[in-house]
Amino acid sequence: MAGLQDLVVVGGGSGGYAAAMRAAQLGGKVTLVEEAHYGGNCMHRACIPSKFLMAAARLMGSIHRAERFGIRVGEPELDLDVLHERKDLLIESLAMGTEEMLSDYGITLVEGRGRLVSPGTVEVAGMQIDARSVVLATGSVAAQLPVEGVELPGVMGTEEAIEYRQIPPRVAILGSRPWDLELAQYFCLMGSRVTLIEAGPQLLPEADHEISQRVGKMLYDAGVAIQRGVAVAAIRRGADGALVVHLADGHGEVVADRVVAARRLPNSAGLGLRELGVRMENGAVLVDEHLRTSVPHIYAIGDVTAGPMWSHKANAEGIVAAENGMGLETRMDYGVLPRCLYTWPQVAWVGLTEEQAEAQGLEIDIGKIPAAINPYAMILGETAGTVKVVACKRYGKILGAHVMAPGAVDLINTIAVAMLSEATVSELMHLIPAHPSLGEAVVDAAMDVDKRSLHLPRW
Amino acid sequence: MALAVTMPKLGLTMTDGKVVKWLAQDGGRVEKGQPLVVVMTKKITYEIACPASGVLHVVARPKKALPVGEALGFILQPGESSPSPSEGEGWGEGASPSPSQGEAALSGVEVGWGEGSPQEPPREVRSSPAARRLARELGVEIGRVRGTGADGRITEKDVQRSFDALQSPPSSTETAPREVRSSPAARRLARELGVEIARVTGTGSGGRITEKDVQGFYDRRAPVAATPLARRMAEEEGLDLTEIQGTGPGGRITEDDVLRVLEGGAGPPVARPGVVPFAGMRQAIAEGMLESLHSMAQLTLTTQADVTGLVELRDLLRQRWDARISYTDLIVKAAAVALREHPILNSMLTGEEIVLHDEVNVGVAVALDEGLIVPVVRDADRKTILEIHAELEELARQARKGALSVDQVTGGTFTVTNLGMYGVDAFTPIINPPQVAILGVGRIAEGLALQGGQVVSRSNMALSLTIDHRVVDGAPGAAFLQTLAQLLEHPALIFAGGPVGTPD
Repeated sequence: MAGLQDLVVVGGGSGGYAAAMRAAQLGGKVTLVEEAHYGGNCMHRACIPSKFLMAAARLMGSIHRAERFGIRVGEPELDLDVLHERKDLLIESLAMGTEEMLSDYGITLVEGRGRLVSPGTVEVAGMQIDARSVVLATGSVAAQLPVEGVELPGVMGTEEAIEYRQIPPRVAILGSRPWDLELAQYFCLMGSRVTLIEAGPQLLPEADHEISQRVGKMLYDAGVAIQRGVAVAAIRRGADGALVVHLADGHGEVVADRVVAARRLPNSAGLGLRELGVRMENGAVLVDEHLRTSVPHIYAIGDVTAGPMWSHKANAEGIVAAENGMGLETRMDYGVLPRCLYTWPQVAWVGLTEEQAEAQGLEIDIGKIPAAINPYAMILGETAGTVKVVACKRYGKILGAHVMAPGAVDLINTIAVAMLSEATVSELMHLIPAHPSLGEAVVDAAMDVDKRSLHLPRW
Repeated sequence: MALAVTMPKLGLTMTDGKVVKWLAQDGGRVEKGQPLVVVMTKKITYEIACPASGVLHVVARPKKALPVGEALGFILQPGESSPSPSEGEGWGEGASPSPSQGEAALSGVEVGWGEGSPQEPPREVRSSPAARRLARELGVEIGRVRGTGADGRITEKDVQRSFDALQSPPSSTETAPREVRSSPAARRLARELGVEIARVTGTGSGGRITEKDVQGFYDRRAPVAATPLARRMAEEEGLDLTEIQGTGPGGRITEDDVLRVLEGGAGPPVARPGVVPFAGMRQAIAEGMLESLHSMAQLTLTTQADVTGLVELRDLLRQRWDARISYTDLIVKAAAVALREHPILNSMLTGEEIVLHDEVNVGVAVALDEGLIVPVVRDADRKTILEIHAELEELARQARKGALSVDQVTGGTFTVTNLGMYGVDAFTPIINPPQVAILGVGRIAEGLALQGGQVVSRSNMALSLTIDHRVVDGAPGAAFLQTLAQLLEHPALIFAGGPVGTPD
């Protein structure tokens, strides 16, 4: 090993590679330790492959609606082998690209599972690497839900569901987090009968109430059966070999050929953290706003820490952790962290929901525009959504934005820019949006905060 | 003739690429136009379409880097055998058509993962973490330090050298004041606009500064940088943005900066050696004290009280109650009793009238590292010594933790401030508005006195009473002080209840 490293990053996923590259940009001597794939879970098993499948599902849905535009096509045929090959090819090239970039930065790449043996020493495959600072970016691992019967064959985690090369006739999905809803729509558009079972009172528990309702209706209209506020008692094997999901409190049962039931837990075991006294809570490493753990010179980022598991969050944290490890002093600010679903139409939000703002005792104004009155959404025939802006009454500060509309994810990015630069509702109102576009709905929603949207009917 | 499929040149700087994956079988039949092979450069992935129908012969295995123009494989016609890589009619972009033609010729799955070629010089400073930390500590801008480490990396030593250079005294020529040549009109305008004329560059004859130069300098001055939200907040709250220090990118004033001002601090507290931030509690005390002296006619009376009995009493109470009863506890109680006798000192001037308070709420000044705070003992006249003691201990504890509530520091009608423990005798305490009096307690000093012709040792305490002469004249002030002295000299009277009064 080439002597004392400025930074050793354990884990080469979305957070880890960002930390390694940023430290290298700042002139650091950096080593990255990765046990499986550069690009991590996001690139290989989650974000990239699932969005690839969603793109295919959306196209399938569009083909079914092609007649709306006077295009007649026969019944489309799905070749799942080709779909998955193309998906894997994309992943492979992305991973190679990542590895190439890391090498170009002069980052030493070490394969194996890293383990901390002292605050400044990482052990990999019998070799010890000394570092001034260490960034833990080991991500998360798939885990089973604590439900009877999850070990039965045919019960799949999210990763298996993404890799599953069949479209089962009946699918049951336990939970309604973003990736659950994406899988529900994927299987539904590809021809499965899908039942979604959410124990809590609303789909997408973190989302704005209204968005949650609209997503539920969109899925329902597409043919997804929804069981809300119903817990799962057990999964059992039925007489005909199918899986039977028994619902609690006499809510009946759901018969399915495949059940998706999964959760993810921080990947913090076996890293030597407990021995070094790194503070953790439920397996998640605790960090401060500089991403420092309780042990000096050890930083942690991404899924291995507490907090929501988003690839883009890990990526941003990687940069901050690297900068702090390299002697700068930067802080994470989670106020403008986008959340996104690649459903059809897309759903995305940033900042506070209406309910969160009220719970904080803030005096707020709401502006909202249904996608149904936006000309471009009408052209596309995707009018199920809405654009909603939550603003602080006093100064017009944009507290949050919630979008369900075609291109919602990109719309949210633009609203995030506005929030980050502390633009107020007034600036959004003065934006000249391209016509026709969904951006017009954003401007309209901002204007609706002052009840002056030109496009809302006057009741 | 065997047709070679070569590594295309996909950009001006591209020298080599890699095969990601062959999309057709080696030795298998391929048709013109079908996706054949995926190649990648540092920036992009391209899918090459098959240039002709035939049988594929693969030369380049995946992940191997190949220079532009190198054969990746060949399309063979029936009867042809595979040539060596250097043979064969070139196909692809090896012959280097323009990149745009190259792209057009290729069907494109296109995936970018980086922008800006790695050959570009890094825009950022390369340094060791220790150097960066030292630079921050010393306030050295690291971008200005010349690096002497490997690849020009900045080391800790470089930073120290740069810092030392900054500390050395500048040469005399640099400090000599520049003689400013300017027109009188320019000077007048500079004065009006508040422009420091020495900073203006003159364009007149011989570098003389003209009126136009001053106006130009003023017009070009940096406008206040603030976010739209910060501007809106400042406008709504009537704040002047030029007086707010920005901490955002490029010194921009952000929401946080405005909030900090709204919450009472002037600017971000910056810890620099030799500088104490004038903000928060310090500023509040300054404003309160100055307002007090500006708005009242303050007069201080001093006297000595024989507290020999009080000292004995305190020691006795400490033993009997096993509590650290202080002189302050006793004086607060005594003052409260005396205030009942002299209600004019327990009052407030509203402008039109003097309001005598029903309650006797005694504030006690507590010194903190960052200033002082005055928690209040309510209804001190009706509380026992032990109650007052317990309450004061708790208030002082919370004061040091910064945990006092608004209720605990407001509503006082009189204040006691004790500097005795610092060896102070008499002093001139400043009244805490809207109160009209404050008692300063000095140290207890041993002294000799004549008692029945005998020289005896006594303990004396200095008392300083500041009164607002607008409300309380010298005589009633002195009468209160006399009552108080009497209570302290005969502490049994503190507990006696009923009117104490001045002896008739």
